[in-house]
Amino acid sequence: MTFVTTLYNSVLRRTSTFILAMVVTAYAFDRVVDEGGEAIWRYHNRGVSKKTAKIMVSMISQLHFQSMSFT
Amino acid sequence: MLTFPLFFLALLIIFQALLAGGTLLATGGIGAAVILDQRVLAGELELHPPKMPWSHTGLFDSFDAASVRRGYFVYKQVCAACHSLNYLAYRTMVGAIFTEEEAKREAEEAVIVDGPDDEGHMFTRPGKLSDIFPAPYKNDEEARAANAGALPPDLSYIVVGRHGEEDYIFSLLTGYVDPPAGVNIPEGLHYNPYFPGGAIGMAQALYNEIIEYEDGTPATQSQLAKDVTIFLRWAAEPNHDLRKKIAIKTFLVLGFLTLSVYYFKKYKWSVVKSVKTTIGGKKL
Repeated sequence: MTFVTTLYNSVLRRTSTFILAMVVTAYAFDRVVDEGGEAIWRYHNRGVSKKTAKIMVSMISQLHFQSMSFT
Repeated sequence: MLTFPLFFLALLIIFQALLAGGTLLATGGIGAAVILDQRVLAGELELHPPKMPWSHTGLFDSFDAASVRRGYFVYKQVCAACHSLNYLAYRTMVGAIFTEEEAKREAEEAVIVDGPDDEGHMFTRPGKLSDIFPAPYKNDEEARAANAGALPPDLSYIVVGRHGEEDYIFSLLTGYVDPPAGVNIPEGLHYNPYFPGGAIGMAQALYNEIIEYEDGTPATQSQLAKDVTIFLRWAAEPNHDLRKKIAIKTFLVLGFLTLSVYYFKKYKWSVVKSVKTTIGGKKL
C-alpha cells in the first residue's frame, strides 16, 4: 500500500476527517507562506529593512550617549 | 452529425482570431502612446534628470529605513520652513521610522492650532500622534506673500506628482547653478536647469553640513538631498514596504496555484485527450 492509498483510506474517505485535513492543511499553508514570505523579505532587504536599521540606530545612539558621559 | 464538431471548431478559430486581433490592437495602441509621449518631451527646453539607482526601486526592495529617518530631520529643519506636509500624520511614522515614544516626542514639539474652545476662541497646544504636520503658513495667499509670489507646493505627494519622481527631486535640489550667458532670471527667482522654464522661486536650500545627523552620517549636500528625497517618497507612499511584502506572498500563493491548476487540467483532460471517436467506422 503506497502512501497515497494509506492517506486516501485513512483520511480522505470520511467527510469528517477530510474536512479536518482541509482545515489543518489550510492553516499549515498559511503559516508557511506567511513566514516564508517574511523570511524572503528579510533576506532580500537585509541591512536596510526596518528591523536591522532600528537596531543599528539604537546601537549608535547608545554609543553617542556613552561618549557624551565620558567627556 | 459532423456539423456540431465543425461548428465548435469554427467558433474556436473565430475566438482565437479575435483574441489575437485584440492583443495586436492593444500593443499597437501602447506603442503609439509611447512614441507620442516621447515626441512631446523632445520638444521642451528642459533638462531631464538622469536615472539614479535608488535603493527601493526594485520589485521587492524595501525603503532604507535609516535614510528615511535622516530625511525626516532634513525636512523638519530645512523644508518645513516653507513647505507643508498636509496629508501626513505623526502616527504614520510610528513603527516605520520612529518608535512610539520618539514619534510622540516629535509631535509634542509641534504647535497645533485647535479649537474652538467654550468661548469660541482658537487656541494652541502641543501636537499629538493623531495630528497632521502643521503647515508653515495659514493659507496659500500668506505663503505666496511670504515667498515673492511663488507658492511652495505641499510635499505630501510631490515625488509621485512630478515627472522623473525621485530623480527629479534629487536633481532639482542639487542642480542649482549660475544661469548661462543670455538667460535673464528676474529678481527674486533662481536658475535651475531641471525646473521647467529654468526660473524657480525656491533658492538653493541644501548645502554641506547645514544640519548634523544623529547617526553621524556626513551631511553632504547630496546626502541631504538623497535622504530627503527618500523621506518624501515614503511620505507619498507609507504603505510601500507592506505592499512589496504582500507581493512576495502573492507570488508564492500564485506559484502554488499555477502548479495545481496545471496538474488539475492535465488530470481532467487526460480522459478527453485519449478518447478515440469513430463515426460510421471513420476516424474523426
